[in-house]
Amino acid sequence: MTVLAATTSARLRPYLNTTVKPGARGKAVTELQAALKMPRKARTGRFDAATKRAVVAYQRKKRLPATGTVGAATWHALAGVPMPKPRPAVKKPIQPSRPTVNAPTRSAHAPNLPVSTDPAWHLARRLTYGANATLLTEIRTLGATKWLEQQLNPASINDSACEKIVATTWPNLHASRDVLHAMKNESGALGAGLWHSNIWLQRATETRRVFSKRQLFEMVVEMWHDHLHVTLGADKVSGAVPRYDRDVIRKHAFGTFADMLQAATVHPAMIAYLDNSRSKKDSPNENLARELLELHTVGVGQFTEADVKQAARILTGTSQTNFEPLYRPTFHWVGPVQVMGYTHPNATADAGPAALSGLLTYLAHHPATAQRIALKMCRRFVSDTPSAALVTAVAAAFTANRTAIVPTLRVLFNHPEFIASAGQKYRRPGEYVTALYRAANPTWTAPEKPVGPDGGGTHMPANLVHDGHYRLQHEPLAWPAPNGYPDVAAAWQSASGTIVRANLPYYLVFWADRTVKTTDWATAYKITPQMSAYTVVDTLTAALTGYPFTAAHRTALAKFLWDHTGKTSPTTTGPVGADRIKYRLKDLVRLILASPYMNLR
Amino acid sequence: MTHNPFTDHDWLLDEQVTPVHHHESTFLCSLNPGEEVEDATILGSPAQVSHASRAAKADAVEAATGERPRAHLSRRGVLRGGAGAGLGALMVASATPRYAFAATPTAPRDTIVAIFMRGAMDTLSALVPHGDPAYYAARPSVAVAKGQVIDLDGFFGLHPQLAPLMPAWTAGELGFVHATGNTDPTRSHFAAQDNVERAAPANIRSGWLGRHLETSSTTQGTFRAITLGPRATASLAAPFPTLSMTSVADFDLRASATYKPNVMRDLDAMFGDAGGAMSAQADAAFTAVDRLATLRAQTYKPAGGAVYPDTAFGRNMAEIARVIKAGLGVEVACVDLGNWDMHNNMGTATNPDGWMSRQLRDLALTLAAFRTDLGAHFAKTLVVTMTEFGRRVAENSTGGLDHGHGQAMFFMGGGIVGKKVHGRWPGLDKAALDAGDLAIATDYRHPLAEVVSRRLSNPRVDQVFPGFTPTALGLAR
Repeated sequence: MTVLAATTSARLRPYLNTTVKPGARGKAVTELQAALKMPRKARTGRFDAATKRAVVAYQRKKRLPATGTVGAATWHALAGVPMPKPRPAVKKPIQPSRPTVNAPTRSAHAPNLPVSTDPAWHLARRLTYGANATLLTEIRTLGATKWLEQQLNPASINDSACEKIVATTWPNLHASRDVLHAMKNESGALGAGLWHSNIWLQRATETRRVFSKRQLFEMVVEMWHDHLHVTLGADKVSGAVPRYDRDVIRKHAFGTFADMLQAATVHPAMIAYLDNSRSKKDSPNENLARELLELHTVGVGQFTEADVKQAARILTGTSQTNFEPLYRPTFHWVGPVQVMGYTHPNATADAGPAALSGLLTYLAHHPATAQRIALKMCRRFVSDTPSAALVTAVAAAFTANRTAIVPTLRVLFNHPEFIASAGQKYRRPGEYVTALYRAANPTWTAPEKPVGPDGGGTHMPANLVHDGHYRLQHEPLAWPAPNGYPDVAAAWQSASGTIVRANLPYYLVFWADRTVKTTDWATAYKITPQMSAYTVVDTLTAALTGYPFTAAHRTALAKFLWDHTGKTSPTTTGPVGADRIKYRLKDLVRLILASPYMNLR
Repeated sequence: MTHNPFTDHDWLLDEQVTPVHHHESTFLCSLNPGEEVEDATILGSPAQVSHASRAAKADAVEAATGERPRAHLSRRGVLRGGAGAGLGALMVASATPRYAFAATPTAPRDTIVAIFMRGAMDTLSALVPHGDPAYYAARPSVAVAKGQVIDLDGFFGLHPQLAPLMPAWTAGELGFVHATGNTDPTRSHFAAQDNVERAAPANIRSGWLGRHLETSSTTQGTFRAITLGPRATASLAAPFPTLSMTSVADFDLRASATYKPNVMRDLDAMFGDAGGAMSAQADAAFTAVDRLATLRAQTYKPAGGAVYPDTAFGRNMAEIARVIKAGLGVEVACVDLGNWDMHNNMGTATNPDGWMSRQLRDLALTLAAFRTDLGAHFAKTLVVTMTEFGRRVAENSTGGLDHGHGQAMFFMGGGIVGKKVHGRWPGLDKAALDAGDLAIATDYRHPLAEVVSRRLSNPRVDQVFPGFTPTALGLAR
């Protein structure tokens, strides 16, 4: 059998990839009739009705499509040779084609640009500090739903590499006030650590935004810092904000708002920032009470001046010393209190914490608070002008989930308005700068010397990121007023900012600090000399922005790459060649990164 | 479409904030004894913030209504006109002024140059009350000795390093207001700078110069307001963009020389096509780049043999003179002179290399060069200096001065009543001091309101300094 099979196999090999149909004649048909073991008399060399019947019978027996026509599958079966597997598709880490256009979308910020995009890109731009090939592959591999769930459960993401960077680079980030105060500056004066801890926290925050895999968590942390804002760099809280960041914002960012509000209101940083440390019963300081109602919870229009005064009385005694929490019963105003619909007997000097806790619970669960938090979330993640329907839906989720943040976000991210909102946010400076940096696929390089009270010296990695934040006035957590950085485009668009934004990619590409200086854009984005100029442009625009560029912009960029003098023009297929990549690719990358598309989140 | 500057701040008042800060300076001092820490906030503080806003509200509104802020004709047309239209064409285009914002239909205004002395300048060392014995009693080692003072009026005199300002004084183009400042009791650099630059209740986030621009014209020319520095200063915070530049040479698109025209053209085209606020902002930016191209191509030579000191401040003031003289329509220019936080070892007037001597020399040589350089332009220029607060009258044990209260402001220009120290002098007797500091006899908004009204021809002083009723000192002509 084996011999025969081998013989049959050998005899049929010439026909394996041919197709023989009824009516055909010749040696192939004779061999077919023999292989089908038709009677010798019937092996006529003509594909007649009997042959067709035999073919159909064989195909049925072998569970092949009973077509009566002999194609590759049938020939292979007859020959006893397995069908070759289809060639695996070449895996392309970066989409070389232009992004999928799934709906015509316009951005309010740049109404004449097409901002359609594929869902993976939308998530990457909107919920992270910037897309790169790794991130997109991750989203596409897991699928949008699974990736989102993973991001909503940051503990499930191994982020040890980033955590190690932060822990080893800024070991004193969370040191106590005493330890920070004991640090000396270069001229030997005490207190250097208090100030420098501000710089550490800014650098650590910027670093996390670049390197953390828990990207959504970092985005939400930033949102809560803008909401329960304590100005990093304000004298009175120097040294206190790193612990506030850790123990209030990061601890509760994905917990419940009610818990976060409790933690924030009594935290020494907030107490010191809004001047509650010495607020006494005889003349309560109203600063914290006012912001608690106006900014942190229900908002203007929901309370009266009398409510502010009553809340200030409840807050008396809630103090701090040396940035450690301290309740001072002798400061506390005693007697019944009422703030809006909340009452408490507040009968003794020790009743302050209980009265305050009750007030905070009442405020956290107030419907007006739900509306304000929902609006904040929608502004952060959907658009500057979210619809009332969306805000109401998110507020309902917030209330239904007892202020739990993750389920509220889940409702937001699955809402059609979120899904359809590609390009509706203008990147704030920090988002723009960080996205540029992430596009360069940076790797962490440890500082040359340990980071001490000098704040890290001039050779810290990610200097470019910090410089960009500084020039564009968006240094992390540094907004000078208690209302946090604005999250609408109008607050950030400026002529000077436009020039700075247009130049930052130049510094990234040509000057870049040492963390990214080795970025080879051609290698990183798989650009080869065999590609046409148009393919190079399509590959890079897609990989860096995820938006389809208009035909005019695509052509302009291809022409630049081909011949910047404009004397010759690229064809759609002519290979771009090594020289053009060598001499003009960096400028092309800069043009794409500096383009208006890159400013749309 | 006109917009009301006091209702159009809605992004600034995004959360309807009315923070009322009751500062606890005294208590905080006992909580935070690290004086050095506070000092550090002034030296490269990340939050030394000019949270100067650069909102594009006006542009956004106009873009949304389909009205372009200005005609988009020339430059883009030239640039897109053909492959040959590169930098050369750009320069030609820029040579033609396109916007007639200078022809604002109001009285001609002075150009105001606002100099902020960051870090709290000790103005008692600059404008010395040498006729007040309490001054010498309080400062046994750092006072400017009687023999060193350049007498002005028998009571006040200048630090010897300010001698270059004497020609301006003699010409009646330099005057002072002493014992002025911000009455807010804060001694925090951060909070005080914020207060002074906003010059308004805390719920208004714009700056006083921003509000002046807003209320004095509906047109926002590209160069109407500039900050010499990396970011627009907080005094200029307004719901429309103002330019900031570190120098004329620096306000430019960076690109490799070979490809620069291509980079400019392609970016310009992409932003121009984008529409909306993004186009409007880019247009303002690229127009400025474009209009500065002519200037950039030339080497600047100050007029009248003026020599600016080779310092950051000297260079910045030279740049301001340059853009004023170029006729770009500058109405407001802001610049900082920092490094005044002299808690330790400030030096004496007899030592020209002491900290205070060097600072004052930089100031005086620069202002003198600026006056010479401007020539005829100086008649329509107004220089104002301010600082966040003055310093303690009595020196401390380390040859320096701690944070104080009252200060002196400098006013220089063709339109001021010079050769005079304006304002009531409360004196330096112990009883007259405000917790050890020079008392504030004249709120700093009085002189500012006067020059805004008389020299900047803006009748809406009530909107520039909301909630404040100014009284004229007779400072402006």
